Amino acid sequence: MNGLEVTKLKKRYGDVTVVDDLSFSVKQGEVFGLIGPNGAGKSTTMMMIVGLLKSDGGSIKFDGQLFNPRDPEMRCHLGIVPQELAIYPDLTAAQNLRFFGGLNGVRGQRLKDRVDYVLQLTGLTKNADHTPSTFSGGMSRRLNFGIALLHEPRFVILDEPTVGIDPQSRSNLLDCVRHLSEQDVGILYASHYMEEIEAVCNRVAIIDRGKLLKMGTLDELLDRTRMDLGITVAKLPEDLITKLGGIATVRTDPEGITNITIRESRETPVEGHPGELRHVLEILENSRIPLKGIKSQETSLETLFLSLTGRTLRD
Amino acid sequence: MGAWEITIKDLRLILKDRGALYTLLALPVVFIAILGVSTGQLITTHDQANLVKIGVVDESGTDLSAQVFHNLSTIGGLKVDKVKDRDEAQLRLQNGRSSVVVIFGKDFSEKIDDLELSDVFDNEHGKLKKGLSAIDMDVESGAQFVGVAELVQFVVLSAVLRVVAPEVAKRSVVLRRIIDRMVERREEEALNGTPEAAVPKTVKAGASIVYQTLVPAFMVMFAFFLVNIMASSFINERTLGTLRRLQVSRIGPAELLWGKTLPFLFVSIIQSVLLFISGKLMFGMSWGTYPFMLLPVILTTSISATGLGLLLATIVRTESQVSSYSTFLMIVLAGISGCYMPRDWLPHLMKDVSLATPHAWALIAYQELLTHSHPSLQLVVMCCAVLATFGVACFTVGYVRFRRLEYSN
Repeated sequence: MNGLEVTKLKKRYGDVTVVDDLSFSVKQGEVFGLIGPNGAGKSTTMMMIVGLLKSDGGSIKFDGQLFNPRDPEMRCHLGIVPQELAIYPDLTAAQNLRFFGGLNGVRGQRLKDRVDYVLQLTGLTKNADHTPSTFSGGMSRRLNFGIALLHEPRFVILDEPTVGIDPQSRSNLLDCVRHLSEQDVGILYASHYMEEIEAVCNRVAIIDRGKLLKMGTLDELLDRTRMDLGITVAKLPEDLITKLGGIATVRTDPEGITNITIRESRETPVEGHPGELRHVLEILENSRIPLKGIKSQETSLETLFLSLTGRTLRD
Repeated sequence: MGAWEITIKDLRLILKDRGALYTLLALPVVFIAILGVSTGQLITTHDQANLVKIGVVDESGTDLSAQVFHNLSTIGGLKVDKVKDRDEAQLRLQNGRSSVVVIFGKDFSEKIDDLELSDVFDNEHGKLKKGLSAIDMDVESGAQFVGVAELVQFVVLSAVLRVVAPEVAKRSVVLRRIIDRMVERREEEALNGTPEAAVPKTVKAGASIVYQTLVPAFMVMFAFFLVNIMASSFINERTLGTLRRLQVSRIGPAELLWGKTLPFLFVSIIQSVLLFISGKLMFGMSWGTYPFMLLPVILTTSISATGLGLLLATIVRTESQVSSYSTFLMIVLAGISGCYMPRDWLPHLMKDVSLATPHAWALIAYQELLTHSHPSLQLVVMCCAVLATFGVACFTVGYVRFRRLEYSN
């Protein structure tokens, strides 16, 4: 296939497996979102893809060819936007761009044109001759992003590129991502911001503890044919929670209110195939549990993410 | 080509970093200038510091005393000034403006007239037995020369006798003819243009020779100062996250390391050349019989220093490690090798041990070139080879470590 293909990628640190048989692919022109809680293995996966970390198994293919990070010709197809700023604060924005462009083999008039283009794309033309030490967080992030585009890579890897920036800069960066996608650049986009993923990604992989939990287009993941129904009742006894746990997500909050969430088809259940809603209501009625409320809500990526990865705090 | 991009970038950053620039270029020059001032070798103070200052009080005021004054003035290493009277002479002795005071008494000329030829040629038994006081002269030494007062008296008496002896001798008719004939012959020789070869009157001061050793010693020490700044530059790349960008660019690890090493090699060479020029301008140090041979020594010393810097950069992980390791390396290696004192002062065992340091080989090469009138070029070439090998070995080990640590986590 044309594009980036990651198959059964594995990375261990001692006894801890941080990436466990992870497989996914990113096509040209596609924006592929990689989401997961802290420590899920996103950054490790990206580091292995760009050759900064050696994998303990699996393969990374690029246009069907095994990716060799030592091969400069292969490397120059990749652009990386690291999570932390990676710019020289004492060089001007233009000098930073020229340096990294030159380092990736862009020279002469082409370098000049590319520097001008990237400055314009990231909205930094007016600040081309200023050093990043005088920049706002958003401007520095935009420069950090622009550096990865100088050598016209076919794939750009973005590791949480919008951390700590204002909405304007975020909007600019997301526009840039869409623009790159339109130019047939494949993008691997890791972020904690679900709205960003929903805004720019064509496909998404949710990973946790190095494992792939779910992958697909947003429509596939969010299953737009169904919706979430939330039933609120008084605190339930343990045996009933266990009974309901098989068909719904049950959570009791500190105030003693129990929330029962079920995913139900938008269409009326056909006779003989009762939906989860009827089933839950029957159980509650048989146990003489009065309902406090019932409401429907659209499934968001965030609720899906939390339902897959849990609400337990991560270090 | 990628290496060159990094080199240009780092040179640009070094130029912007005033502190680093000062440490690498200005500090060594300032340090040597301070050293020069403290040992009185700056050219501006050179003459003043080395000359014995003699104040002369001439109460006699005769041609003969003037001739002795002139004669004293021609002796190398002396700075002879006329002083108004004895009181001022005492004052000058006290405040150090004069090291020695010579007084021609009012009866100086008469006492000289009383001298006979035997007194001049046998001054241990004749009228000069009492020394200078016999001809109404007095010599007083300041605190600096108290220990060698007798020697000072002897020098002054010699100067007097050089003037007086021909005058006394001329009282004998025979000797006057001989002397007149000698004078005529000298005048003829002078007219025929066959003067005797000029012999420098002053002996090269020992301190100037010291500078032939001191300047290269401190130069070698300062060359290894950049180990610190070079390792810091690597740490900085890591901290800024730019090292990862460099690693994922088109260039390979070898090119990356070359690019990071070259700017410091250039700086080291510039630093060394600057110190040699400063040494020449400030202390009048000589660049030896083969000045061009200094270049390979400078180059290979810089290669070994940058090689060591690169190796250290691949060992340290934090800025505090850079400080502690590099300071240890700089001070200890300079101490072992003999940068703080002439290598000749080191005990044999220490000399042997010091050969494990690149500093020692650089010092041996510089010493050979700068202090020997016929240096062994073979020895210099061997030192250069050792220095280059050390640098290349450090670079290679650094390269292997860098690949292992930065590319294979």
